[in-house]
Amino acid sequence: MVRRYAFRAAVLWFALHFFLAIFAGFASLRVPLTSVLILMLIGGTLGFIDARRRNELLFLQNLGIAPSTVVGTWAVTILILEIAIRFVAVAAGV
Amino acid sequence: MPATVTAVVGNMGVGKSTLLRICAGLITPDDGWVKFGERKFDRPRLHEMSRAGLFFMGERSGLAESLTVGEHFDMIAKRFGLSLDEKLIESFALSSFLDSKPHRLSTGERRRAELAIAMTRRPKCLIADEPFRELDPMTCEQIGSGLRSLASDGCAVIVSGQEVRTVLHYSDSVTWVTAGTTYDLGTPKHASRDERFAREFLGPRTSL
Repeated sequence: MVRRYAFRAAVLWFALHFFLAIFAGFASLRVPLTSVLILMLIGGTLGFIDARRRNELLFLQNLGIAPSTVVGTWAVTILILEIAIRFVAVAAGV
Repeated sequence: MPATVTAVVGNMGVGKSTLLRICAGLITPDDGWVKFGERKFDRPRLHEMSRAGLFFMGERSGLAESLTVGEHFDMIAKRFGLSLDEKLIESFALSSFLDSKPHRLSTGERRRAELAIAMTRRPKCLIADEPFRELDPMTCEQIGSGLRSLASDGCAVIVSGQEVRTVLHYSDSVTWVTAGTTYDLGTPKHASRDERFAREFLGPRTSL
């Protein structure tokens, strides 16, 4: 279940960076830290709303998993991908 | 109480569902606590209590729309290190729905799936809020038998509902919820003899 949230977060992140790349080019590889934090917050909130919309929260709790895990998984996935893309940017000399 | 089915009945709007949701840790009480097993929860949370053996079946479907019925069974079994009981799935006539998502199922099929998933969990306590609601008699029978089977395995089952005859038929004891107070009325037979319960809840034309 948690893997699904990481996957959904990754899909949203890729889509977002794809659109950013269209408008900002290589600059989109280096998002400012404050923007990353805002992105994590928005991502976590969207993830929670999405899980609620899909009626997953009750089943998740019956599995013994806290609803806050959804928010955490989305935020951490976004953070990991942002760190990864920064490494790529540094390696590519952007 | 372990190995019993307790019916929580009362007029609409008196707070049966709220009471059950507080017991399940889905609503934080203004005051007081919930004791589950040996542990006292000042701020009860379902995910914490479910690790200790609680399972909650809500008024609305508790199945995740993104998962198939089979995936629900797999996740419960994997999470709690339990084995899947094929006979249980067959007894609830769910074999043909294992690859279906919940939105493809009827209310009765969904309710059967939910109870079978709860039974796979082998909970110490099952709280079922209105499990008989909008069900045909055959499905009521299946759900009722499932609840009794859980209780016979030692599970404490708590059931609410407006279908008084059905709910009480499968219950060992009755708790009557009125605005602000609950009364333990004993067995359904004792409850039906309680004058105030008969007058204020059952009404003159309902016999049990």
